[in-house]
Order: sequence, then C-alpha cells, then structure tokens
Amino acid sequence: MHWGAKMKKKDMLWEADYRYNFDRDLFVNRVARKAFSLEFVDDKPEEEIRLRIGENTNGNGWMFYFNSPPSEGVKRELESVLG
Amino acid sequence: MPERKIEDLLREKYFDYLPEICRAVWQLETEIRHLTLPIKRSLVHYEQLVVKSRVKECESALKTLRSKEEGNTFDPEKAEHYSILNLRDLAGVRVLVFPRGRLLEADQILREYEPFKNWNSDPIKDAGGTELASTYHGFFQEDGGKVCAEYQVVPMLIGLFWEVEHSAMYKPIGWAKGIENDPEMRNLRTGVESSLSHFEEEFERFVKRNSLPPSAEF
Repeated sequence: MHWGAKMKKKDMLWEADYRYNFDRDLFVNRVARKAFSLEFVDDKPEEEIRLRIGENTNGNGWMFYFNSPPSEGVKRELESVLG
Repeated sequence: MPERKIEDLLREKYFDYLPEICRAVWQLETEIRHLTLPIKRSLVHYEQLVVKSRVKECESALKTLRSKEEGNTFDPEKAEHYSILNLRDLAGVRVLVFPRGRLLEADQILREYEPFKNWNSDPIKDAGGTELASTYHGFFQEDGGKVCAEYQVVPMLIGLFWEVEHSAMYKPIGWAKGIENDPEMRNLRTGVESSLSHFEEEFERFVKRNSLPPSAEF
C-alpha cells in the first residue's frame, strides 16, 4: 500500500485520540475502549476505519478490530495489558 | 498452581535447545571459515572478508515469534502451535565482504558446497526490490536436524551500516520505538544503502580502469 494512504489512516486515528501501543502494535483509545491492530489498519480501506472509529459499542468492554478475530484468551491478555 | 504462560514454556524450550543451537553456530562458522580461507589468503590490501557469528538471544527469539501474531499476543488456546524451532535464524553467521567481486566469489563457493546445496535462498531486498545480500537457511542433519541455521553473504559497507542501524532502529527504547516504520527514516535508509552500493560499484570500476597489468608492476 502507498505510504500516503497508510499515513492518512494513521492520522485519522491520531485525530480520534488513538495512540500507538508499540509493545502490541495496536492503535488504542482507552476512553472508547477500542483497539485496532496494525494489520487491520494496513489492510482495510480508509472508509472502513472511519466507520469503525465512529461505531457505537455501548461501552461493553473492549472492542478489538483485527483481521482474524482474536480468541477469548488473546482478548483476556490484551484487556489485562490495556487496563 | 497457576497455569504457565506461553512465554515461560518457550523460554524453557529455548534453554533445552541452546546446546544444539551453539553447536550449529560452531559448525556453520567453522565450515564457512574453512571454505573461504582460499579467498582470505588471496585478498589484496584493500579487499576484506570477515566472518561473524551469533546465537539468537532468548528474548529476541520470543519477540520474533510474538511479532508474527496479530496484536503481538500469543493465543493461550493455541499453545502447541508455537515453537522456538519455527525460527530460521537461531544460529546465524554473516560473511562481510568488500568489494563486490570478492562477495560473488564467496557466495558461489558457499552455494556449491554439498551440505549447503539444498539450503533455501531468501535474499534481502531493498524497498525497490534490488537484492542487497544473500541469505540461506538450512539444517545440519548430523546434529539431529532440528535447529534451522542461517548464513548471509553481505557487502561489507552495507553490513556494517546495518549493525549500527539495526540496533538503533529495531531495538530502541521509549520514545524511539516504531522509528523503523517512519517513512522519512525508511527513505533515508534506502538512500544510504543505495549510496554505499554505488560507492562500491564505482570503486571497482576505478580499480579496473587504473590497475596495471601484472607484467608492468614493480
């Protein structure tokens, strides 16, 4: 993917208060309790990222946007790390 | 008793295999030094050939395995899928050579050596697809054939740049983490690699143009 398109998606996440977690390669917003994997952000179009950022999750725990949905074990591990 | 984490199980396995990894490095380094000795003996004053070896460190091995997972997290429900032996560079040797003519010679000698003939080639390329260095992976059957070893034949100028660049870009702490993905830094790295390659090409051309025939030397 072209660097410009990649950077645009990352800028969009930054503007929506997502910060990069270098240990897990995730874009995380602790208030919205959402996390995007680097692979998801790289592979999905800008429009889908925009939709997911705006998606209403009813605040029911963490929402993980991954290319391959994480297992319950991975979710538990990430939830314990992200707080 | 609390369930052990995948990281701890992998650490235990790493230390179980460590003697085998060390033997693989020892064997690979010895064979490569032996095979390149005729080149080493015939180098002229400006030519260089250096052999370096290393055993992949435990935490580096874990980090590499973990980084293959989305979200950099091992899945506790797939514990049996992870193995230290999945890594292809547990035992590594790098041959640094200057200039390119000598590098091609060393690469060919090693490739034609019978035990290395079946090893897989996986060259390192720059962002534009230009091959920068040769990399080969394979096993030593006489040692059980479990540990995958790797050797690289690398232009010395680029290899020495990588030694500094790699620890700065890939093993940073704190604020600098992720710097390897910064587009500006990636462009600069490609620029450095390209300049070093051009320097080497031009150096060889210069030597060729200006060298005297053997009969004219005194």
